[in-house]
Amino acid sequence: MARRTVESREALQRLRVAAAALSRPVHFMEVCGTHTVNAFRCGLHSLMPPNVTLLSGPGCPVCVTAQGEIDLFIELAFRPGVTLCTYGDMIRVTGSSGSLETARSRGADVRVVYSPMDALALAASEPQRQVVFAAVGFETTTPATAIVVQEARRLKLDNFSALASHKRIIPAMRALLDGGQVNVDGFLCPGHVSVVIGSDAYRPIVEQYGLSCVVAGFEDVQIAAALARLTELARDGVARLENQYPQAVTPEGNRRAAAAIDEVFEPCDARWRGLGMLPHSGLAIRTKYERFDARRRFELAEPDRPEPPACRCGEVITGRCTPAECALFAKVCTPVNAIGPCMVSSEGTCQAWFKYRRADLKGRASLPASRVG
Amino acid sequence: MCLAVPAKIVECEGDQAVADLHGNRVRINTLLVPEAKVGDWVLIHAGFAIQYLDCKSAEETFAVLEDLEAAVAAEGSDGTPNR
Amino acid sequence: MTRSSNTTSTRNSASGAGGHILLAHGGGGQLTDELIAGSILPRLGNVLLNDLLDSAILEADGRRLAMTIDSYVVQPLKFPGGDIGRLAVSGTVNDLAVCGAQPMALALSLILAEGIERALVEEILDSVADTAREAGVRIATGDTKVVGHGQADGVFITTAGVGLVRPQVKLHPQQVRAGDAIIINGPIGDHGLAVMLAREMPQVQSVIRSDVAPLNGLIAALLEGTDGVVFMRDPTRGGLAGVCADLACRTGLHVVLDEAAIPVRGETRHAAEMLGLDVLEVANEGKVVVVVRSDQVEKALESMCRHPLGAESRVIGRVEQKRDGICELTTPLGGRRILQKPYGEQLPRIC
Repeated sequence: MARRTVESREALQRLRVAAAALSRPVHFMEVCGTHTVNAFRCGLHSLMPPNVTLLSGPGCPVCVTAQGEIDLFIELAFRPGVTLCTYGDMIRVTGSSGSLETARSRGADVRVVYSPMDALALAASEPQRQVVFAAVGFETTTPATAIVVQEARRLKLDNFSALASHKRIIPAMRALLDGGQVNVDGFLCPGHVSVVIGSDAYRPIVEQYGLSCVVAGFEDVQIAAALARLTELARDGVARLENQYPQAVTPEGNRRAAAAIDEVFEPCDARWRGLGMLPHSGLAIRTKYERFDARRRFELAEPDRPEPPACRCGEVITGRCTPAECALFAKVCTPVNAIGPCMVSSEGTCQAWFKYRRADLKGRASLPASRVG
Repeated sequence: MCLAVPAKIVECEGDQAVADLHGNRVRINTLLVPEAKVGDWVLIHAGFAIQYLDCKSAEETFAVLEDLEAAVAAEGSDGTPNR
Repeated sequence: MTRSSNTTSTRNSASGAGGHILLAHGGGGQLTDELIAGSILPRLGNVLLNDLLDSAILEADGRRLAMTIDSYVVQPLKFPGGDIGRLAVSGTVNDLAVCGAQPMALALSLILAEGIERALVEEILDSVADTAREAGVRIATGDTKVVGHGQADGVFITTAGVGLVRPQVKLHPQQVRAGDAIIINGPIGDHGLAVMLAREMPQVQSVIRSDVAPLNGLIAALLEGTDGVVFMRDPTRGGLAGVCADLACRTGLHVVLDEAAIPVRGETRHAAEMLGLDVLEVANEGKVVVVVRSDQVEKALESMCRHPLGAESRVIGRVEQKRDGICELTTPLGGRRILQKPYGEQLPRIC
């Protein structure tokens, strides 16, 4: 631990030194749920200089899956003969009435899988069932779905299909910046998405918007070092692209993974929960693979569901308000009793705040629900 | 969004491999890293290896390798761990 | 018993839309608490039950008797390091032991599913016998039922236990004071991860083994070595985080854990990372969290380390004066974060 401790302390010191030289407060945004969680878990938020803020953006693919989409997953799960396979992250997210978890409690066949290959194997072993994989995630995860769809075609597993709900991070960042909804001085870029898309993918953001992008890994020292770098760049008034995760991220990314995505999917407009339709930000299965497209197979149309009233998740995930500023936070909306996706998801900003920051919210937080006797 | 972890390939056949993550052996698909071979380190996510890792530079960063160093240091002279 | 104000909205109540039981209600976390507080205590509450500690303490003829019950529904029935039989004895023995009781006898109820192999049942019973012998406790009485095919996941076991509480021992959250130290007897997360991998992840072969073991011997050695122990819990469902968050909540004091001091085996840490689980929330079945007066720490550690199940005992935290009922973790980075009781079910994440 010794070497990492030294590096961590150095990174924090650089952050403090750079922050002290800032002419005004700065805000950086991370767009990765794992960065959201890890920054809290390593206690980084309690160590931030007061004039540097790390905002959580729309980086949790679970959080940004539209309510109507969740309703589709649930509807499918209730159909006789259908097995709905999902990553564990999705199971508690609520649609307009209930979640996959509550659906399962009422008899729907919902299975949690670690890999889409598990869903494919299930389809192979249970040919009499229609196995649908809820394909959620950003570019880190999309190649897995692409490979599995290709395998399904190769193996002629006609009882398998994928409900493609993957999102693309760069169009989302652009849409946020174009919409003027986000006021940030730079981005902490997601290390593992970048493994696939390459660090060069952020160059247009740097050049067209004049914002620094630092690609970071997920260890505490890596996040701290990346924040220090972003602060230094802000202090110096320069916008740069820097890759602080060269061990895994190359400028061009994993070309094979990108090719697999391109082979199976094509960009489409997609609805992001709390943000509305963002152009080119989603992925649809190409006609070539339509046999494995659950939307076509089951003739699904995504309904447009209104968000719950008073829910401010959309503003939270664009950094326009903090969870504490939402009237529902910790009073009505809690992890046990979640209203919006930011509280439901284990990587949602609101759940992270609720779990890791309650002491900061003097007077707002009620007693933990665990108090009995 | 990005729970990927480094692991070392210990078995490899076609597009299937077994990667070792500090005593946890995981079956993974290597279609995204077709040149990976036994002894290589890769980044694994959702049952797939998604990137090659340079072992030497990974050593400088990944905590997993520090743990391995500590575990090796704790081993007795007969090779069994001193837990 | 208090109901927290955040359960006023009934539409999205924690029992699920329509009021159904969810798997998470059995997770030992916040949802379990809500079920107990909302449905069970209002109907069954009484002075013996309301404390909701690991055992109930009954008084008879001037002696204190500890009584406890637990059901075991683990899947798979056999996992690396143990099986449901070993678990059924250890879990109940440990619930008695952490209340300062020497286990006297267990009652064992078996529910078997039609069609299960007799040889498997006998293997499980062998495990029960071996573990009972290890703990020095006898199965005094029991019951056996058989239910229809597929109705009981093979085998369910319920074990009740009684034990005599050591005289002079007073173990209760009310005894805990600022300055007390928190000790654990070894690395965390092994049981929950061994079981989860065996159940959910056929693509993983792991060296992780459950730590399931009866701890009454270790605890007896501890209580003989020092009179400074004021409270103990075994961090089963809900993990270390659950127990420590609960401790802070019940005492109203501030609990601080030092993450760097918490022992975790490398393979367990990395399996947890791969699955996106917080190892602090993972169940243990061979661990005890001990709260001890600060001037008795050395004696406590000495007594524990001499026992095979306590060889890696160490201090992992302290109780502090601040009256906020909150448990915090100090991180290797030098920061702090809150530790809460988990929601319920643990699910592998990709994200």
